[in-house]
Amino acid sequence: MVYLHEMPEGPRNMIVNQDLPEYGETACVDGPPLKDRKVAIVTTAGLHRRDDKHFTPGVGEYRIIPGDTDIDDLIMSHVSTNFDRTGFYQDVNLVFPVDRLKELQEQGEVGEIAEYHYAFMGATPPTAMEAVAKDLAATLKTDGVNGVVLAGV
Amino acid sequence: MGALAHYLEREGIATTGISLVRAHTEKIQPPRALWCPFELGRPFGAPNEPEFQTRVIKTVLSLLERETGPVLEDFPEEPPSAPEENPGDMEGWTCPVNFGDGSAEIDVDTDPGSALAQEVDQLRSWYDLALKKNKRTTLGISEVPLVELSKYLVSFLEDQDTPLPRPDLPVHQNVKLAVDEHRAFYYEASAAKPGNPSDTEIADWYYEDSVLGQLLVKLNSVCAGSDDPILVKMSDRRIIPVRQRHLKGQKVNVLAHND
Repeated sequence: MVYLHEMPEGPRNMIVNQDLPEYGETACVDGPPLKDRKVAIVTTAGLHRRDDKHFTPGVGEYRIIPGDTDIDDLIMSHVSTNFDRTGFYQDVNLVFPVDRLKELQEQGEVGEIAEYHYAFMGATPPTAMEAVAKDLAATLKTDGVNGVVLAGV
Repeated sequence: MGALAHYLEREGIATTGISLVRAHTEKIQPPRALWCPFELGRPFGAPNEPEFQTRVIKTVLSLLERETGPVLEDFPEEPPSAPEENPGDMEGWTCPVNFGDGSAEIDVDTDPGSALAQEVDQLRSWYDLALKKNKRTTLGISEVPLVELSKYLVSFLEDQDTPLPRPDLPVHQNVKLAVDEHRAFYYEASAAKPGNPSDTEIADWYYEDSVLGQLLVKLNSVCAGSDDPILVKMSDRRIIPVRQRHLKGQKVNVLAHND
């Protein structure tokens, strides 16, 4: 399994000891209770629709995943070989849990689901993603989204 | 993931996120994060476990209501194990390629093209079963038949200027598509074999024992010695995973950005 704690020390250290930027503390944005929020998923799994352009290593970019997309049409063009893909092959919700989110909305636990979700590729240098992330934030605000769940691989 | 949380939150969007590497999250300090003791590649725990996935997403969403951070909480559950399809079978998973049909195994060093074609052909019925079971496939993103990509991979080992299956794309993207498409086909086929193989079992067979795995080792060497810097970079980490390179005793550089 690709559990960090089950990896040999060498490759585990390669992953854990990555050179990462530091951001300090960012103040939490407040908002209404979850049952009144509009929520979008932002994944860094390199997901996109089959007909979309594949992710390019090193380029800060994202792909839009409309909420009514057939999730079985989603593919993954992430460049890394260092995470499990067998689970994704079996169940897209393992990586992109849009069906679970819809169920929570139907149960009244989440207010609304955004019309669009978004995907980045996690292997991209974080600094390369800053400008497009700001652009995405403006789009999310325009769409009335006030809660984002982020998930990488 | 943590960097995006900072960028979005600083622009006024409340975020919460799944962490799979706690040490990274402790350093990056996103506003709200839930560390989950799951495999890399499985942020919501386990496939086809909707109740477990719901507990994960409810927990991570609940952090949105926290007004001061950074918040880093631990999800208390391990993901459920895959169910046993055949509890009476104690032999575990075996390689999905079976040459017991009377055909002789073709030697990869003598005739790599035929050996790879034979292996792909042996896997075809398992892939078809996986497609029927999962009702989806990730194969086909190159829009080139797998048989053509197999021929390209074998030709590339001898001649890096061999004609491209996708002439509209540069060489490194053709190589990457060929590698990715074979991995999708082999992994989807392997996962259909009874015994609920773990991804490590599949990876060990795929990279260590399969014909393709032997060719990927050669491909890695060819790319490492290329004049194309992008192919050299691919050889560093994008053809053979860190774990498998470590097992083979090959040099592994420090990764960058969850690569």
